[in-house]
Amino acid sequence: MDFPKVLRPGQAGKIRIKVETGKSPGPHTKSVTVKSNDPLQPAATVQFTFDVKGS
Amino acid sequence: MLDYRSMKHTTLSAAILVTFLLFGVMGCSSSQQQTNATPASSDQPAQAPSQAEASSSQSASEAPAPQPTAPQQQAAPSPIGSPTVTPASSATPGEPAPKVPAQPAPGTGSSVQPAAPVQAKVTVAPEPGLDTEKAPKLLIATPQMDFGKQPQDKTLNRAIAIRNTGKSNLLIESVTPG
Repeated sequence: MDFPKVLRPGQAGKIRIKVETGKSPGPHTKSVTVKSNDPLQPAATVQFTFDVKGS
Repeated sequence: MLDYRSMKHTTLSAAILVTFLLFGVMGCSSSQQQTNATPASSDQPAQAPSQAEASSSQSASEAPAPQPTAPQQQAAPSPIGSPTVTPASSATPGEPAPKVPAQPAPGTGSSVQPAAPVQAKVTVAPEPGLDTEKAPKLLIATPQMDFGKQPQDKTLNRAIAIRNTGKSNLLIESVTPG
């Protein structure tokens, strides 16, 4: 995973992720947890879903 | 007229005394209320006419007939018909006087004591709020993403957009799956 270490106030960034779809067909749900020094939200979760087509 | 009023007063006071005695006996044991109530009610009319006769002997002989009849009619309903009403109105100067200060005293004491700590808690709450105003804030634009239908054994490269909407530097410590 690639992510910026520090973001200044107002600055935007991108967290680059790689997801392996795998061999099992059907819907899948995965998530990524971002930990930071945000006192109100020290651990934020990003959830993403995808549907693997069968062969 | 004065004799009639005095006799009325004496009969009423006698009825009040009887009701006090009744309530005193009822206060000792609630199970004996019914047993005591029946003889007391039977005694009340007996006392009322006796006093009426005594007062009638003291009063002038001009109107003996209306005086005994009138107290009997008044004395009979007052002890029997309203045993609970007469002590309530007549006993208010005597008995409820200690009850009224006794109820507000604990009520006011208990209501004042919790009010003070609640205010103290409210004053404590804003202190951490001041720190959070200057703190960094992580904003994730899309906390849920749908990649749609994907083939098997494929690597998806995606990007999650983030922004620091706080007023100090945001330090991203780690990004871990799961």
